[in-house]
Amino acid sequence: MTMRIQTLLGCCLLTMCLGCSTIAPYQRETLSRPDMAMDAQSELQFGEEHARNYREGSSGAGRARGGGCGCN
Amino acid sequence: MEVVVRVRASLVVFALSLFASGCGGLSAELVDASAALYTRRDTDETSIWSPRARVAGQVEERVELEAAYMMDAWTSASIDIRTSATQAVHELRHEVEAGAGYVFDTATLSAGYRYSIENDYWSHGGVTTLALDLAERNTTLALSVFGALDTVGKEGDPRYERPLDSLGARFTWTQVSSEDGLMQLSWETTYLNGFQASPYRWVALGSDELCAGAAPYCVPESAPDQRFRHALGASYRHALGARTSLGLGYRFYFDSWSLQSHTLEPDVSFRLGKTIELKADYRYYTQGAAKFYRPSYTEDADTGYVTRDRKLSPMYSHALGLAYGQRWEVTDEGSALSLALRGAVTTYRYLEYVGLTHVEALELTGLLRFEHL
Repeated sequence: MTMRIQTLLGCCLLTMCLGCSTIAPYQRETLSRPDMAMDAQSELQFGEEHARNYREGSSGAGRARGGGCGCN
Repeated sequence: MEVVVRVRASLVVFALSLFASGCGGLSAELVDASAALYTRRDTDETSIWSPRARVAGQVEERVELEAAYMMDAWTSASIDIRTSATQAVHELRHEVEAGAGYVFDTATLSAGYRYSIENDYWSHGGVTTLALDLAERNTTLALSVFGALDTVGKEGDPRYERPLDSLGARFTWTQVSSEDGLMQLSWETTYLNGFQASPYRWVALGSDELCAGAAPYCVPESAPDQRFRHALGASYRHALGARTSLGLGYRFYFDSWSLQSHTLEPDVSFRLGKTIELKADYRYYTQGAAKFYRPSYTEDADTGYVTRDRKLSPMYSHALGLAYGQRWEVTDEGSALSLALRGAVTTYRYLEYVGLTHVEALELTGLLRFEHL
């Protein structure tokens, strides 16, 4: 398990380091588009994320909780 | 009658957000107010209505404030409730959030507080985040520390109170990779200590029957008090030309209860003209079982703990979502009104859960937003 996680982390870090480059502000027209935001629709998906907290064993870490019976 | 109440609640929430947008700081330089309504209905006889209002503003050059209110109104006669041999349940949950941030030249420090209340659950939560912009804002590092103090109650038993405390941290690294690409890595860990079972669920021992009058011997659900949760995430977003972008996200989760999961989320966005955006996304989720979960338990229950929590059983799901967004400029200075609509269908498959093999759900969300610049 630990080996698999380390491998996964290593691959991700390597990919990011290889991808690192300096892009000047005037070159960021595309990156500033609303659809390029990493959390572009987080406000639109608040309900879906909250509902998943009650239905999946792995979601919700660090997010709002509630619902003692977990029925909904 | 019920629909009228829901519509009234939604209107009140929206009115509050518009009121707040007008009064949220007399010297406000920027106000962002929104109102949303989420609804969900599934084949497990559960329906949810959830309005939400949020207002955020920049009250000084470097100070940001934010407040939000959310309500969950849900009705359920799910397998959990039928197993407990009770009637359909109707409940309300209220949640308020408030936060503030200070913007330095290349850093932002923010803090937030959240309070959630319902008839059998109370939760206080807090979060502090420090975000740093590095390498001419090509790299953003963010560290959040969060915690919560919860109390689990039980309907019909005012003396029943069980604490649940949590403390966690999340680290995010966002990197510009090219003129049209962004990458993000995240790591999150949470420690929970306290009551993590349900006070309502019962588990049959020595029988495959359910605890709704059929099984001869049932005991209350139990779970370990402590749980360490960890999640690693990676995502990438790439623009294809002037109107299209693609995204791909992956999340790996594991915890001290031996539960593991994988989540894969690809999506595609299209821009139609300057004001309309369409998005389609897919989500695949799969998880194994917690180490003490069994579809049925022997009379001596050698696992030490017993549970009927389907979240701890092996399962997978597919979800497909479609979203439409449109934006209108309402002043020459850049103030804008936007509308977004989203629909999603999800199918859950339970591989080892007695009494339930699958659930299909339909979710709809509407969001109206006003940005005053």
